[in-house]
This record gives sequence, structure tokens and C-alpha cells, in this order.
Amino acid sequence: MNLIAVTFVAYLGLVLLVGVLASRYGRTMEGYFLADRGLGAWVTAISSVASSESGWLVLGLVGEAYIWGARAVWTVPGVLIGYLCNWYIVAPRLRQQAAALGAITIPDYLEARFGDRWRLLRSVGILIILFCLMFYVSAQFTAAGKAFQKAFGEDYGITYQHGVLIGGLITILYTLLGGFRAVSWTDLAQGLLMAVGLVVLPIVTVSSAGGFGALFGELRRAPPRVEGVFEVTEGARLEEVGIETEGVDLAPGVTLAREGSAGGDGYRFVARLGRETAIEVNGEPRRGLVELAPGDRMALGSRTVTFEKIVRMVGGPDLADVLGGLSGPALLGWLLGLLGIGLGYPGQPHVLSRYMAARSRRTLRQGRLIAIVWGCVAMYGAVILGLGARLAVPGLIDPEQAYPHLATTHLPPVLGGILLAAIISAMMSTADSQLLVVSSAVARDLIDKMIDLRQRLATPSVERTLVWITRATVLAVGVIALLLALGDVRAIFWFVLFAWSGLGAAFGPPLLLALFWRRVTRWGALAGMLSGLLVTVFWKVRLKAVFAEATGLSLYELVPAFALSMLLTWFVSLATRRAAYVPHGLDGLAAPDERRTREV
Amino acid sequence: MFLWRLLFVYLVLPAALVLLAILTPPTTRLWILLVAFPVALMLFAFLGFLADRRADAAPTQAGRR
Repeated sequence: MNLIAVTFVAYLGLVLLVGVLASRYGRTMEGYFLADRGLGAWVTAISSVASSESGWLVLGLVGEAYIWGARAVWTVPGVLIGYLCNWYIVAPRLRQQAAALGAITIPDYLEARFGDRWRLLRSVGILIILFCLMFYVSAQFTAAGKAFQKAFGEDYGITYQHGVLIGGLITILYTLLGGFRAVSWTDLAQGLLMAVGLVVLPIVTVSSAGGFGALFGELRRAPPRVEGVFEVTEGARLEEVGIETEGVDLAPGVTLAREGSAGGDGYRFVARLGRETAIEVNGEPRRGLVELAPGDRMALGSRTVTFEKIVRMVGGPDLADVLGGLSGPALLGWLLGLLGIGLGYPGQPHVLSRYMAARSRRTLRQGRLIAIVWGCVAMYGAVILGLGARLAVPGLIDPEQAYPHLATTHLPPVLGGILLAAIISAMMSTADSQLLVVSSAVARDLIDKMIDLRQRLATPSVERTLVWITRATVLAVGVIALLLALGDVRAIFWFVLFAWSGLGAAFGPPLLLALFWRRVTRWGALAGMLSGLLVTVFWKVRLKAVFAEATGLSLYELVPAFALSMLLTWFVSLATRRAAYVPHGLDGLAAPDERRTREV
Repeated sequence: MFLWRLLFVYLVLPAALVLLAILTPPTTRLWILLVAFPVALMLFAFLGFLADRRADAAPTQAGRR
């Protein structure tokens, strides 16, 4: 076993140990889902940011900077704006009000805040969480499966399915045993590991380029490129299909090639077939020259190859410019899209639960400094790494593999193993938090509150029984997510498209107004939640293209969905103002100066 | 207060960044987004943290006296 594998196994063992140690604590629902509201500043801060960023940070953002150059940097203010909103606006009030109302989950809080006896808000909240997060957990397991396969496929024969099972089962096990406490502790370690990776690798790439000045000088001279990415549906990525190197045989008589001139959209991708050869493309037999488009599936012997995407990479002076040579509607769409990411943060239940679990107001004050420093270091690290990777490894067919590629080729094995563990960490830290939120929607919101099992059982040990039911729910939800990840991956990613925006637009505006405005009503909140999710789905599926055709502006779905949800929550609340309700004990809604309010 | 904070975070701050980026030459906007913005943000968080600590300590010292 090589050093990278040893480091990896040690990391997984450590994560499991944390789960076992934390299992001694969560003996009540509040203990299991909120660690008895006793999280310290470091755990609150790092676990909240680690669970919100996922594999997207170490793979997606790095790949974005690799493809688009310096213009990808706009993602960073977008994310940091989200942190500012959550830590300075949402967190102090949410912690105080959730504690006063005894709320453990976001649907719990909404129901208590509006005195919703009909349980409409809780029911809609459960459905939104299941719709958005259930498949998100599967997507994280899918990403873990690919990462394991990438790291250990060649040496140890680890397939995608093995990877999904290893990553998924370990995550399920420590979440099941230790609940929120285990999830938060492991997230602390995982978040710090991610930050280490996003500091070390950028330093390596920038210094190998000769410093920042040389890096940006080289980027200005880098040529534009067009690449095609192919994937075998069994899971193995066909990186050997080097379109860059022109013409690689996939099967006897079948050659994939790039045609056309360099730069811009000049290339097209084709399969050249011999006279005697026929292949099935999208289920139809084809001969001769077949032009390929993203999503086309080719049957080659026993395997099916999917032509996944065409990656067009920016080059020249635009690569080193934060506006990337864009102007007019294209620039506006780009900026709104990336800065709009921040609108999603106040609506993510798996992030908000960290603020509800913080020990005190002082914890949050310390936590926001830690979270913002972490955000600046990790986010800028990812962008600079992507830019450096464009020069260090210019021939990458899948730019999202820049981080693992550099970790394994440019660093000593132990450090490389630790930084590879950071990728799995990023996925596990998000998967565990989301798994717990989905389980809380079922165990707390549905079984405990809506079916009212607590009243029906009415035994002295009912709390302990509920915790065991909760553990069984984590297992059941985890296994379903695992089976989904082993099954139809494409269906998972269809749902994941709506997850961040759907949650952000559905929960964000009603929650923001509920925390600060006395007059918001349950009807207003309900209108905001439903409109937020529905506009997200319809904008993504249909309206985005129509709007882009009419205005030339490709608008990220979260922006209109969040705005409409906010407006509807406000208008409907005003229209139904007689239903306004403020429960006892919500001092936050009356406190004029938070800073002078005494510690709760 | 809440509305002002929300407007500052989601409208004023991003609009100021975009305006600065559009109105300055490429090298300057690169510096603003890559260096000045994160440094300013971390400084803001740090100064806020110090102010909070001072505010927390003030009643305790008065009590001791």
C-alpha cells in the first residue's frame, strides 16, 4: 500500500473515531440535531462554511478559473456576500429566536414563529427539503465515488461503485452514531483540511510560474482552446480520448477527432467510421462521418460512450482580466450570475442549523471573523490554483481534475494523500450535514411533530426512543441516497440543478423577514416559500431561455426567484396583516440595539 | 436597521465592486478584486471583533469598580 493510500485510510479511520466518540452525547432530539446548542466558535464557523461549500470549491471553482481565467474571481465576492449576510444579519437573531421558541429545525422555527396550527409551513418545508436535499446527498456520494476511483482506481482496482460505497457508508455511519455533534466536529477537521489544500497547492503553482507577476504575464499570452470531454457510462472517464492529440481509436474502425480551426467556436467534434463500421449514436445505426453534440451517446462494443461537453476556454489578454473581455448583456449576466450565488446562503437549512446550535452570541461574534478569514483564504486559493494550473498542466481535458492532478503529481506522497483526502472531506462535510437535515425533516418534523409520536407513546423513555427512531431514519435516508448514487446518476443531477437556488429562494426571503419584521404572516411566508421554489424550477427549465432570447441576458435563476419570493412574502403579509403573530419571548423582534442586549 | 444592512450587503457592496471594476484599467481592477477586497473584508471582520470584545468587557469593568 503506498503512502497516499495509508494517509487516506488513516483519515477515514479518524472520521469514524469522531463518530464513535460523539455517540456518547446525543441522547435527546436537541442533543442529536443541535449538539445541545453548545457549539464553540471554531466548530460553528468552520463547520458552517465547510458544509456549504462541498466538492464544488475544490473541483468546480478551480475548474472554472482554469477555463475562464481571472473572470472566475467574481464567484468569491458572491460567496463572501452570502457569508456577510448570514453571519452579520441572520445568525444572531436566528440563534436567539430559535432558542426562545425551542426550535430544532427550520420548519420547526417557521411553525413556532407564525403560530401555524395547520402545520402548512412545516409540511411545505419538509417537501422542499426532500425535493432539494435528498438528491443532493446522492450527488455528494457520486462525487466521492468518482474521487475514490480517480485516486485508487489504477493501483487498487477501486471502481466508481466501490468509491460510492466507501464514501457513503462511512458518512452514514458517523452521522448515524454521533448526530450533529459528530458532523460538526468532523466538519471542523474537514474544513481545515480544505483550507490547507487551498493554501499549499496555489503556493506551489504560483512559485513554479515564477511569482504572481510572471503568472499573470504568462496568462496574457496563453492561447484559447476548445476541448471535448467523453465519459463511459460505467463510470470510467476516458481521459485517453485526447482530442488535443487528434484521432484516438476507441474501437476498431472508429476514430474520434477534432476538426476545424483553432480559437473561438471553430472546432467541431466528429467520429470517423470506416466503410464497414457502423455504430449506434443515440440508438440509431450511423456510418461515415458523424458530428457529435453534448449528450450524444455512442455504443462501442460492450461499452457506451457519452460525449459529455465541449469546453471552450478563454485565452490571451482576456484570461488575466477580471472582466474577461465581456461587455453589455453578456457581462451583466456573468456578474449577476456569480454575485447572485450569495443570495442562496440565508436559505440553506444545513448551514443555518450551525447558527441555531451556537453556544452564545459571543460564539457567533468570534465565529464570523473565523468564517470570513476561512472564506477569503479558501476561495481566493481555489481561483489562484485554477489560474496556476492552466499554466502548470495546460493539457487537462477535464479542468475539474486540476486539484487532484496537481496534488498527486507536484507534491510528496504523504502531503498529496492529505490533500486528496481534502477533496473527499469537502464532499463528506456537505453530505453529512445534508443527510442530517433530510433526516431531521423526516424524524423531527414528520414523525415527532406531525404524527405526534411523542404524545402517542407518552412513556418516560420517549426521548430516547425518538433518538433511536432518528438514527434509523438517518440509516434509511442514507441507504436510499446510496442506492440513487449507484443507479441513475443523470436523474440525480437533474434535481441537484435546483437544490442551491431552490432552497435559497424558498427559505431565504421568508426567514429574513420573519427574523426582523413583526408584520410578516404565515400566508406571506407560505407564498414566499412556494414562489421561491416554483420560480427556480420554471426559470431553469423554460423561462431562462425565453428571457435570454428576448433580452440577450442569461439570468441565473436564483436572482428572479429570490426577488419574487421576497416581494410576495412582503405583499401577501401586508394583505393578510390581521394574521400577523409574534410569539412570546421573541425579544429579538423588539430589541432596537443588538449590541447592548445581554447574553442569552 | 435590518433593511439597511440587507441593502448594503446585497446591493451597495456588489454594485460598488462592479462599478470599480468597470471604471478602472485592467491591472487596477485585478488588484481591487484579488487583493484590496479580501484585505478590506478581513480587516472589517477583525475590527468588528475587537469592537465587540471591548463592548463585552465594558460592563464587567464597570461592575468591578
